[in-house]
Amino acid sequence: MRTVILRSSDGADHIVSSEAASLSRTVQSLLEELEAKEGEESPLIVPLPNVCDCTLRKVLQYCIQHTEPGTNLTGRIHVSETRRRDLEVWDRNYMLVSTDELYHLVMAAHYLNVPGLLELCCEGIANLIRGKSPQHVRQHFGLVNNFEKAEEEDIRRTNLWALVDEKELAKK
Amino acid sequence: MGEWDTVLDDIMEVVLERLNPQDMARMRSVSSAWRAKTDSLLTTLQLRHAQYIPEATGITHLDVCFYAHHSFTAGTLQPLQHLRRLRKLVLENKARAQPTLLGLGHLGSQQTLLVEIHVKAFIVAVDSGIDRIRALRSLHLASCILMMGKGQGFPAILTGLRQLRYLACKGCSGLNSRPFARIASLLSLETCLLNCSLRMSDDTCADIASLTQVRTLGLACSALEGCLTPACITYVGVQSLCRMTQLASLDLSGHAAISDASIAEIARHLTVLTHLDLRKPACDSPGAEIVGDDGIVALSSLTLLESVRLSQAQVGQRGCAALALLRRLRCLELSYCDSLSDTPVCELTLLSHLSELSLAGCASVTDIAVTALVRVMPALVRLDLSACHLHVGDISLYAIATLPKLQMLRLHSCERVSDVGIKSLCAGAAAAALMHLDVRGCERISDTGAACIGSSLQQLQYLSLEHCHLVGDRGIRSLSALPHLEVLRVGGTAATTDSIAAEFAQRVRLESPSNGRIWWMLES
Repeated sequence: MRTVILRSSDGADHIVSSEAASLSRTVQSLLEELEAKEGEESPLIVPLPNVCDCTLRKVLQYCIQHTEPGTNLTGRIHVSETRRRDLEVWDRNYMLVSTDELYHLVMAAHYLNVPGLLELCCEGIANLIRGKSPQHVRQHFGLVNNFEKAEEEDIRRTNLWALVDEKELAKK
Repeated sequence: MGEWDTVLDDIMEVVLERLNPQDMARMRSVSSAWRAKTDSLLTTLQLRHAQYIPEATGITHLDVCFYAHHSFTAGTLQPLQHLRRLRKLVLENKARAQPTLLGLGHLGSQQTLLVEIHVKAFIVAVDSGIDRIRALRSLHLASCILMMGKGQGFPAILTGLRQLRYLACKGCSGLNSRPFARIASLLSLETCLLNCSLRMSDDTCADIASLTQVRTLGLACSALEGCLTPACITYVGVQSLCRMTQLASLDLSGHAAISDASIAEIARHLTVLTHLDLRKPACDSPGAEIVGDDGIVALSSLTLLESVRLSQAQVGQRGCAALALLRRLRCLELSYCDSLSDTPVCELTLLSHLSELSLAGCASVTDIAVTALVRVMPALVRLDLSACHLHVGDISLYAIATLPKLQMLRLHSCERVSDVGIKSLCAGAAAAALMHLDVRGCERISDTGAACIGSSLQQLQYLSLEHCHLVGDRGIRSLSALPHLEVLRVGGTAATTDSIAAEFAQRVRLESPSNGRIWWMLES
């Protein structure tokens, strides 16, 4: 199998199979361009200036896991039931990251255009928001309550129904 | 901490899709950046679950609301009144058997900014009050039961709506002797689709004929009612409709009394027609007339025609030759024309630009004619050969397989189609785009054919295998690889429920045999 080298923003190289790298549509199209330019023989080096080393490492974990034998490239055909369930469990564990890591991961997934990973991250973010009070969400995501006094009053009024159970949520 | 304030809109959109309105509303009170983002992404909200609607009312700036659900009650609709800024409202009741009452008048007293209303499968009370929605431009009522005041007719209630351009009540029913009385007062109408089982008569035609802005007119009558009241629109009605010389599209399907003379009248006066639908119900009621070559030859003077639909007509050589002269024709239907044989059909080979062709129920048409037509019509997108059961089979499929743009193929009851034909269809260029395949009642198709479909027709969204009794669990299971499949009809096959994995069943809507009584209402 062909291998390619992905170079992160801090210059570290990662060697992966072209199959795993092609889960990223961005890399896939870059690879096609490179192949056309430099021919089949020379080593393919893809520079990724927008992704730092530790995020790239994390992304590649996902790509490798999701291209292991048994998974077709399209990810749909021939996936056995057990394999699918294993992957789900793996994905769940994979998502146990800090909010900070999650931010870099979702931005990388968006930049590299890895559809499966992007969805997984967004589900992760949604999980952090679902059923949480605004206060909670602010803490989690390191946001500042920068509303004007009048604006906040307006929110409280129109969103009463959404904030009713806030105290209950805060207890949890 | 990451810069969550500046997270990309693309990402936020995917996150929002996964939240319920309550969470969305809370997101708006997190920070001003998130508030702005949520608001800009949330101009439209699609509500899928009933429990969300009371909560959606917190997002009062919504201007479009889609609401489709299985169990509407009067209570679930109540909170809608808080969404005062709605401009477009779509309500669809998915449990057709339990319609809920919806008062348009009540709606009108709250949502005065509405521009567009779509209501599907409700009991709709058309009462006064709706005229308070002054900006209303389009009103769609599909498959609704209309309740209106005695002898009044619902257009009377709508007269205050000066902006109303579009009125449709497709498939609606109701009890009233003259439901469309006073429709002449809706002067701003441009599109008027009254395709339903409500009583239509020559009087209705006379009323409608005074609407000078209407360019699209539908007066179709469902097959069921068509059999009961066969001669609802006769030559007299058509004559009054012919005053509307601005008409571009006319649908008179379901009216058995349309004759050659009526068609000649249409051809003489409605010179700018582009779409004409004159399909008839299958019944031998006393007032029924037969359309023959004379009428069809008259049509050839309407050179702008793009779509012609006829059924139960006595089409022969002369008729087909006349149709072949309509060079703008893109869509042609000649369904259930029993007398139509190969020689006349081959005249149609001049129509090389056709994108839609239906020869359903033309049992005398053979593989030879189908092959000849398909070879010269590379642009075909929809092809219907249902019930051509005597002479159309695998050989036609060899030719059909070469059509690169084909999206819809209906072969229902073509008993001569077998696995061999399906295999060649799946191997040809047609496999790339095919989205809708109906092989119901093709009894020679077995698991092998189903497996071919499952592995090749990647774009398939609708598949009917009803009454293909040789298709079993193995065949159905092989279909689970189709990524876009939404509707799978399996009634009458040998498949058991075990063959359908839970995950597959969740994604795909499995349907039982259909009720074919009001067929053209459902199809279009």
